[in-house]
Order: sequence, then structure tokens, then C-alpha cells
Amino acid sequence: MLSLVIFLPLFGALFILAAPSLEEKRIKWVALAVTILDFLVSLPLWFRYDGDSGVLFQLGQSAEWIPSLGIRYEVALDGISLLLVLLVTFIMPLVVVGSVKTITRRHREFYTLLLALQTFMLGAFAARDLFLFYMFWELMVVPMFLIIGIWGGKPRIYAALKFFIYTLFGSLPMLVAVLYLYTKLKAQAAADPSIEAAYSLDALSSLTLTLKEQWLCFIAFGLSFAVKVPMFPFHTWLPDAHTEAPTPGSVVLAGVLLKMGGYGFLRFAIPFFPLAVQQAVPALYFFAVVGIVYAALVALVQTDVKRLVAYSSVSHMGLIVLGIFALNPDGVRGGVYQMLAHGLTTGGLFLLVGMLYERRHTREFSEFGGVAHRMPVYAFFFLAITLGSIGMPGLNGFVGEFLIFLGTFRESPVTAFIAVTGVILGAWYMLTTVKKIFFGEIRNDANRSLVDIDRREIAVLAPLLLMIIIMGVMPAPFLNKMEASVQAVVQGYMTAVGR
Amino acid sequence: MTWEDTKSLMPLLGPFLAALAILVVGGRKERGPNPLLPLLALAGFGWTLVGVGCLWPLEGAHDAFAGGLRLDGLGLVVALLVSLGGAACTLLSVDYLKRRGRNLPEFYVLVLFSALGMMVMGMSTNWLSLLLGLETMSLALYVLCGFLRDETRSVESSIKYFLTGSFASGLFLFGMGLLYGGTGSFEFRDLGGAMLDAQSQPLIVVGVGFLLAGFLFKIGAAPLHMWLPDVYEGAPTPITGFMATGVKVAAFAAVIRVLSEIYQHEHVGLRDVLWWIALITMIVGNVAALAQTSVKRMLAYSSIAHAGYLTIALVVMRGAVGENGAIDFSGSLAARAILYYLLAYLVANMGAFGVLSYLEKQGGKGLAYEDLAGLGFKHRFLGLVLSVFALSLAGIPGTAGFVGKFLVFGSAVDAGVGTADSSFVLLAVLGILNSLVGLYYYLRVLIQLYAKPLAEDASTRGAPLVGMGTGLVIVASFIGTLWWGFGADFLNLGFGVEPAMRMMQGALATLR
Repeated sequence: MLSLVIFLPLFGALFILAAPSLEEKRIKWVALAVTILDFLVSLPLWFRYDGDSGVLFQLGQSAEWIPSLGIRYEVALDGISLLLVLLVTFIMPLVVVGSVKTITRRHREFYTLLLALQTFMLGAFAARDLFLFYMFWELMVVPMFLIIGIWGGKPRIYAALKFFIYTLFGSLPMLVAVLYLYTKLKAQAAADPSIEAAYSLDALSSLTLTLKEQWLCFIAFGLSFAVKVPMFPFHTWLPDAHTEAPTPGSVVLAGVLLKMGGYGFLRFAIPFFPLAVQQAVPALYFFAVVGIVYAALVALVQTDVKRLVAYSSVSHMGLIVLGIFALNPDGVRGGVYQMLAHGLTTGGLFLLVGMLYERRHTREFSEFGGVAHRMPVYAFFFLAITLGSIGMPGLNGFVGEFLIFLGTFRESPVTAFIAVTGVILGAWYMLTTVKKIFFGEIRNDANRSLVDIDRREIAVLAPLLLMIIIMGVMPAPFLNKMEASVQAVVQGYMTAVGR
Repeated sequence: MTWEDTKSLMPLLGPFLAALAILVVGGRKERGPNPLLPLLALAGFGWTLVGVGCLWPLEGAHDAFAGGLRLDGLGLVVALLVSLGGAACTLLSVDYLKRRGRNLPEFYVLVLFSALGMMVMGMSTNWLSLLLGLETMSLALYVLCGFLRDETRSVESSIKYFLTGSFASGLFLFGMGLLYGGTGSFEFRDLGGAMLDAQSQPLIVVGVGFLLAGFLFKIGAAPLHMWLPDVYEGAPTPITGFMATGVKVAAFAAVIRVLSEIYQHEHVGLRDVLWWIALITMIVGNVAALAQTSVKRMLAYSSIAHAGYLTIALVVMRGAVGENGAIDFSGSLAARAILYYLLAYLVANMGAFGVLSYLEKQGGKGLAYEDLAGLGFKHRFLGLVLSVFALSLAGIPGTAGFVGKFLVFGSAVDAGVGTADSSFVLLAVLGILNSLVGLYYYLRVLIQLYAKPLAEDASTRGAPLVGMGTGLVIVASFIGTLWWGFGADFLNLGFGVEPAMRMMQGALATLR
């Protein structure tokens, strides 16, 4: 079942690739069908996952893969990965619909890569074997690299290479750490027959590491996650990648790929290296807060809407890291919730910016003004999703941010205080953006002929907005699903550091 | 020479008989090239493949020529890899040589003989048979490099290879001589014992040094790599692919045998020397490959880098000496890593050179990065497979190259944890940083294929249809690259990562 959810898009990709008689125009329909089907298949996961059963990882599947190296194919979901998996399957059909106009050439390659990317993302969220996780983790970069490099804007090759090299610079040290963990476990298994030497996360949880080893491995893992998040000072690839990526690429990147970093911290860094994490927390707070405020300030002075959204992404991701490393239930809950919320709102914002760009082929603020007169429906969606993004109560951003600050305040009031300024700045630059684009008189004649969004575009935005509202007014079902997993992360950490 | 001897020589007989047959049948010029000749060569390699299939799994080992050649697991794996490479080279050459108007029988004879030499190298257990294999291989390759005799670069390649290669053979011979002086024997097996003898130790140390220089020359390890880029670039493209892979297979197999004797004694500083050689080789290969404008030359430099990665595994290799002196390396992750890496490199590299040999135009043109521009959309399949080969060589997960790198770096980490010597883990880290550098030039291939617009004269490229042989090699390499990258053996058919891993493991159980 879970494997089907993971690999269905890949089969779709192979089908598109291997069916040469398929017309270019039909391909998007195939892709849409595959992603919708995948969403439908993934929905039962939500209902079948029982958060109160006491079993953390459910719906799992496993098979022999490379036994001589202790590698198994093993996938399962806990509350956190369940929500992230659903985020992926929910957002992908919207991405496909949203890319119809943006992607005007090379349909076959594009949808092949997009669907393959979906499989890799789902696999990374569901993997319960470190090797398998690493494989999906690195594979994700390849289709994204090509999507930016082929369909991106002008300096796309620069942006694509920067993206690829940056992320691999992060994840290659992780490979050494992965190997180290396994080797260490093998050495311990030789002494203690009750330990099984394998890459599976369950086996690795019985590993004991010294503080020094924890630090080295934490740096290796953490670097990879920090690049992905991206955390200040490893964020410089993101504005380039985002700005040059085609709209669907940006949506996937902001909506899902960035969440890999936060997820990685939760799933690997904190449970495996708690002692190192405990010592690193002040530094992590520092970088997170600097990232939040700095990126917000940079966003303030942007003249390109997409770049602004990209920097706002960096700022918001800093909040998520802050929540996760508050390492109390509220903070972690907030971090996870904010991952989902940010995926929806920022994904939505990138879609919106893309729609404007398709009409005017520019993203400069100075070109716009008074757009709301011509595009009222568009303006409504833009404003609503913006409000979600800046944490307006009643929309999903608020829940996450509130929990994060609740958690952070308990650990370090000063940090929380500084971080709040990032949110205030966020409201400032986002609302200024809305003002500059939509309100006032139409001064630029090119804007007089703008057409409002059509039914297809509404069909993309409406489900997003709906989810944003649902998550804003009814957070309980989502929080309940993740509760046991959040508690497990926090409890595990507390026990390890003896607090 | 007894009946038992012939049995153990079975895998070698294929290429040998095929070569003789081609010499007899193909010598008549007036009728033009005979299409059956490549088939004969293929039959020769097929014989070896079938032979390996029948003999595997091998219980113990068979000796021939009074122990000069030893058919054991390692020998079989070498025979397997070399004949796969040789068959691929033959298939590629048919199309390639036809287009160049040089489809002559001698070519196939030489390919067969060089493969024969490689197999002998992989099976040899004393210096004499090793030298015999080395020279058979090298002499055939010298000629093959210059086979396009109308092209300056090909001739240059041949002469350069011959001159420097002979020098390397000289080094090798001198080392042999010193070792004979030190041990009083031509057998590898007497090396370990003699090393403990204080009197003969200096001779042996110097001898091993010279010998190693000869090996390192053949695999193109820095600082003995200077010849390699020019030779690889000038040689006919299928031959370059075969050289890059086959020679490495043979040389590394022989080095494993020799080092398995030397490494019985931990006091040697050989590991330190190899540590630095591995590092320098990786850096030189990767950094120089960055600057190339020709894909073929880039692959030549990257072959140096791959030799460096493989040397990492040589540094950390260690095995067990069992009862009655048998040497068992089946527990050595590093030795297994070398063989798996060679397999992965073989498939990806033969595939990549297959694509290049198809793209190459008269005079060795058409192999610059720019010539690939936009090809990924014009020839979808070609673009796809070349991307996969490049990603495999770069070591991206899901490909055989990744599993190879995973094993190599894993073995280094393993050795580091085992001995608490952080220099091994450091070497793994440095190797991984190097593969990050390598990533850049492999990605340039993908960028050219997909992100650049089709070149102006693309319409005049007049791409001929991919010949059957070339197509077969490309498809087989493509499947192999993915199959040995993530293939799972759900149906117990003996394919995929795990069975290959077991085979490599079994191959190392009976080194002596």
C-alpha cells in the first residue's frame, strides 16, 4: 500500500517516457491522472494510521534487498512522515495543473522528471532504512537540477549547478557519517549478539556513540539538512534556485524539498545525536534567529516578487528550525505544523507569482500597481494566501507560529523575542507587496489589459486556500496525528540527555 | 602439462582459439572484410563467458603450468569482466571501424590477444606469468592505439604509449629482478616470508617499489599518469573504453594478489605510500578533468580519478591467513569493493564510450562538450543513457557507480573504525570531497545534453543509425548500470546487487 503510493508516480514517469506514441499534449493529462490517483491512494493512509495505538511506525512494508551489507527495503510512516507524505500527494496534482501554461516545451521530459521527483520525495519521507533514505535523498536532487536547468530563466544553468553542488556538498559528508554509523554498529554487534548490524533505523537506534562521535556525525548530518532547509549561512543557493526555477519547480522546492531538512533533523539528527544536539542548541538558535531576521530584512529590499517570496521562505524555515530545536512538545509540534503550513502557503504564493509572470513576463514591483482593478479574483487569492503566510489567526500559519513561539519562549525568551521581529517584518514586506501590486491607480498601461485568472487557475488555488483555512480553524486532527511521534522525539531526547 | 591443466585453462582458450582462427581465415585481403570475423571474436569471448558460467562457483582452485597460473574465484571474475569488456569493445568496433574504413581482421586478433593477456595477469601467481600477461596485453594495446594510422593523433597515441609503456615494463622487470634476488623465487607466495628476513628486506622493499611503479603506470595513477590523457584521446574510441576498464581489471586483480602476500605483515609502510598516491591521483584526475573541453579527454582524466578511488580500497585492504597458509580475503570489504567498483566502472564506461564512438566523426572530431548540445532532445534514448552513465561515473545513488563508491568509502571507514586510525576515515572524507569535484564535470555533460540549445549544424550532423553492435552495448550497459545500482533479487534469479556482491566475495576466498 505505502509502496504503491511511493512508486506509482515513478511508474507513471516510466510510462510517459516509454510511450513514444503519446502526443505531447496528452502527456499532462497522464501526469495529472497519475498524481490524482496517487493522492487518492494515499488518502486511506490518513484513516488507517492510528495515532493512539502505541505503535509509532505503522503501515510499513519491508523486503530483503542487499543482505550482505545489512540493507533492507523498509518503509513505514509515523505521524510526522504521514502528514508530509500527504502534503506531497496533495500538492503534486496542483503543481501539474499549475504547470500547464508555464511549461510550453519538452512536456515529456518535464512530466517524467516531475513524477520521478515525487517518488523520490515520498520515498525519503517514508524510508526506514538509512541507505534507502540516503538514496532517495540524493536522487531528489537530480530531477530538480534538470527542471531548473532546462525550464528555468536566463541564468538557469548557474542556478541549477549551484543548487546541485550546494546540496551535494551537504549530503556527501552525510554519506561518510552513514557509513560510520553502520560500521560502528557492526563493531558493537560483534561484541553484543543482541544487536543486529543493519542500516535499518530500528537497528541503529541501539547504537551508542561517544560525545565526540556524536558531534562529528551531527555535523555531517546537520550540514546536509541545514543546506536543504536552508539555514543561514547556507541559504545562498535558494534565492537563485527559486528565482530561476520554473513555477512548478519553485512550488515543489518550497513546498516539499525544503521540508526534507526539517524532517531530517527530527528523524535523524535529534534521535541519533542527542548529546551533540544539546550542546549545539545555542548555536542553532543563533543561526536560526539570524536567518529569520536577516532574510526578512533582505526580503524587504527586494524588487522582484519571486525573490521576495524566496527570502521569506528562508525566514520562515528559520522559524521551523527554531521550533524543532526548542525540543519541547509545543515547539516540535509547531515546527511540524509550520512545515505543512509553509508548504501550502509558499507553494501557493509561488503559483500566484507565476500566474502574474505568465501575463506580464516581469516580476518587478515597479511594473505593477492597481492590479486588483483588473484581477479581483486573483487579488483575493493573493491576499488570502499572504495572510496565511504571515500568520493571521484563523489561517494555518498562525497555528504553527504560535506553537513555535510558545515552545521557544519556554526555552529562551530572548530568542523568541528576537524571532518575533522576523514575523513582524514578514507582515511588513508581505503586505507592502500586496499594496504595491494590487492597490492604487493603474499607472502602467500594460496592466490595463490584464485578464483575471481563469477556471483552471482557480482550480489550483481553491484547494490550497481551502486547506489553509481548514488547517487554520481545525488544527486538532492534524496535531492529533502527529502527537505520539512528537512526544516520542521529545521524550527520546529528554531521556538521552537526562533531563 | 596434464589434463587438469587444460581444464583450468578453459576460459583462456576461447580468445586464444578465436584469435588463431581469425588469423587463418581473415588473411585474404582481396575479398574485403569478412563480416564473420567479429562474430568469431565474439564467439571467443562467449566461450569464456560460458566457461565462467560453468565453472562458477569454483571449489578451491586449479593450478596450471606448475602453479604459474591459478584458476580461482578471482581469476574467474577477471575472465568474466575482461571478456564482457572485450565483447563490448568488439561490438562497438564493428560499427566504428566500418565508418573509418579500417575494418581489418588484425584488429579483432589484437583485441582478443590483449584480453588474453589481461586474463593471464588476473590468474598469475608468479612474476613470470604476470610479466607474460602484462606484455601480451600491452603489446596488443600499443598496436591497437595506433590502428587509425591515417590520423596523427592515433599514431601519436600509439608511440607515446609504446615508449612510456616499455619504460614501465622496464621498471617492472627491474623490480622483479630485485625481488628474485631478495626471495630467491618467482612465486608471490614467497614474498611474505622473505620480508621478515632482515637481510633481504632492503632488496624486497626496493623491488616492491619498482614493481608498484609498473602497476601504477598501467592503471594511470599519479604521478605516473602523464601518458594517459594523450593516449586515451588518440586511441580509437572503443579501444579507449576497453583500455580504461580492462587494464584496470587485470592490474587491480594482480595487485590484490601481490598485496595479499605483502599485507600479511603489518609493519610495512606501503599503506602510507598508497594513501598519498590515492589522494594525489584523485586530485590530479578530478582537477584536470574539470578543465577539459573534450568529453573523451574528460573521461580519460576521470579514469585517473577512478584509479584513485580504487587505490583507497588498496590502502585499507586486509585479509585473513587461514590454516595451511591459505589467504582468504572474502571478509575484506575493501577487496570486494575493488571488484564491484571495477564491474560498475566497466558497464558505465563501456556504455559512455559506446555513445561517444557513435557520436565521433572523422578525425576524432565531434567529441567536444558543445557537440552534445541539445542532443538529449534530439536523440532521447542516447541522451538518457549517456546521462545515466555520467551519473553512475559520478556516483549518484541508484546506479552501479554509487554502490561501488559506497563500498570503497565504506571499506575505508570500516578500516578506520577497526584500527582507530583516523587517517583512513580522513581518506574516505577526502575521496568524497573529490567525487564532489568530479560531479561538476559529469554534470556538464547533462547540461550540454539538456539545457543547451541544439547546435547550429545539427541538421548536417546526418546522424547514422546506431549500428546494431553499438546499440547492443549501450542497452546492455544501461541495464547493467541500473541493475547493479539498485536491482533487488526478489525472484532469486541471480541478478542485481546482492548476487554480484556474493560473487565478488566468493572470488576472494582462495587467493592462495
